[in-house]
Order: sequence, then structure tokens, then C-alpha cells
Amino acid sequence: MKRRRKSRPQPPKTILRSTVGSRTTHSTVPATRGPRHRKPPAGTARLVRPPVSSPKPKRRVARIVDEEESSLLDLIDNLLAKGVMLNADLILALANVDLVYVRLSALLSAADRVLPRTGGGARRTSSRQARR
Amino acid sequence: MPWYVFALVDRPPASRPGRGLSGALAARRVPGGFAIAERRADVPPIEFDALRAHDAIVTRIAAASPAILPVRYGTLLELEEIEEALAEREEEMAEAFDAVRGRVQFTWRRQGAGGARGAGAARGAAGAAVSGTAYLRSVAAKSVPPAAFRAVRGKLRPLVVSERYQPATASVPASLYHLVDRDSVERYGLVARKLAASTPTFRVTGPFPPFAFTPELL
Repeated sequence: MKRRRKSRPQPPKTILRSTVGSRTTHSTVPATRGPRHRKPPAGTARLVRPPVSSPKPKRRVARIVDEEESSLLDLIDNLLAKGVMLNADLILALANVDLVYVRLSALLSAADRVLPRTGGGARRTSSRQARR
Repeated sequence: MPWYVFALVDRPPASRPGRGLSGALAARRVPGGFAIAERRADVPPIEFDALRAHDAIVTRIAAASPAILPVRYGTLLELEEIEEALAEREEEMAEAFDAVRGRVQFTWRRQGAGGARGAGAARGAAGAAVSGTAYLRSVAAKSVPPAAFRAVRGKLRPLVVSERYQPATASVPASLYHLVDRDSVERYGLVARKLAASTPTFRVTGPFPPFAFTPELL
């Protein structure tokens, strides 16, 4: 079974030689390669290369606030503010004999949401609502 | 089996409407447009998951339809009942479709002014009303946004096609709804984000299908 090798820390991409100090001529470290495990010596400037292709900023405005803060209130407001339809079948029976069958279809809502507005934005009440 | 209706659209979606809460969605021709509905025996429960699923379906339909009129949650009807309810209302539906075509809704809410406190303030304002109906009518008549919304309304006016204000109720704070062209959503979002950051008492959410600008047709 092969063991995965631990990846070694890689040297920095680019090392700028300091102009302040100079290396000793007898250094065993190749001049072109940076130190592998040691921190760069003091006075060595390190240049961080910018990423080749930076991700573009998101242009589309999907939700402009956090979902957690808005979702429940928005759900209630958008879906339930105009009320909900209630459907039910009611059977009145006596001694296992069905006597009365009632089909309920009701709208549960705050009245001010379905009453026609008295101002300019008058809304027509549907014939279904009028019947209820 | 009756149809559980999610929304009315002026033309059927170009692609398949996908799945509903429990079955496949279908676009049924009705007077004045098409009803996006699924076959279902009962009304889904009023639970968070069901509400969220319903909302996701309406949002998906809205993304595929230029003009959508979301239908009240729990609308379960036979096709004949839908046709009866919409009969001779083509003109009203056409007007409603024209009003929301290519547009989305943003919602501004004023934090701390809603709930029971806001409703109580409204109740006090309408204290002179003698009957419940008169009270509700007087509250509904007070649909002018208060001065606190002035900055929001002023800054966003050029980007807003239509506006509606809903005074605070016991469950929902005072809300200002804006209808915005889809082309302006990006600009609106940028301005709204700055405004919301500078006025912490206000929160803005959206874009949504035009729930607040839809007449109750079914």
C-alpha cells in the first residue's frame, strides 16, 4: 500500500535579493534558489505575485441581504399576507348513515388585505370572494 | 383530482415547468392566460418547509415567465372553478400582466416600528372607527408611507415603476414595496445596499416575484 507523501512547503514564488546586505561568497545555498525550510533572512524583501486571473466580482444582485434574516418574514409576507385557502369535506352521519355532506372552501385572511381599498388603488373583489 | 395553483402567467413557459410540491407542473389554459398548477388532493400544510418549497417554485416560474401573477397560498381548485373565477376578467388580467411584465419586487421594512407596537399605533390612529369594518377600512386608507421612508423613496424614485405601502400589522412590520424593471435591478441593488447601510433601521430584501402588486384573482 502506497503512503501518500506529505507535500513539502514550497519556496516562495519570487525572491527579491535585498540590496541592503549581501550573501557570503561561501554559502552552500544556490544563489538562484531560496531557502526551503528556513525563514528568509532579515532584509529579504518578498514579492507576492498576484493571482493570474482574479475572479470577477459578482455583478448580479440575487439577494441583497442575508437569507437568514429575511427568509421567514418574507415568506410570511409574500405567501400568507393575502390569506390562505381552507378546503375541507364535512360529513354528518348518524348510525353509520351519512346524512349531510358539506364541502367547505374558505378564505382565511386579515380583512384589510382583501377589502377593496378606499383610496385610489381600488381593487376589485373577485366573484369567488364575494360569494364567501 | 383538483389543481393546486401556483401562479397565473400570460403565456406558457418555453421549457417544461418542472416539478411542483409533489408532482409535475402543468400550464393549463384559463381565461386570460395560463395557470401553472399541479394535480394534488389536498392543500399543503402551513409549515416552513412547505412555504419555502412553494416560494421556490413561484420564483422559478417567475424566472421563466416575463409576466407572472402569484396566486394565494393554498389555492386548490377544480379546473372548472378556475375558469369560472376568471371568466369575463380577461381585461383585468391583461392590465395586471402589463403592470408586472418584466418587473420584480423589492421590499423595505422598518425595523422596530412593526409588530404589535406598529399595529397599536395604527389602532390608535383609527380609534374613532366604531365598527370592525370601519376600523379596517380606515387602516387600509392610511397607505401613505410615513416620513421615515422619505430618504428611501427619494433616492430610489428614478428606478421605481410602482410603489405600495403596507402599514404595520401584528406579524409584519411596516413595509414599502417597490416594483422595479428587471433591467434596473442591478442599479437598484447598488443604491439600496448603500441606503440600507446608512440607515440601519431599514432592511431591504428582494428581488421577488411581484407578490405585492398582484390582484387577488382566484
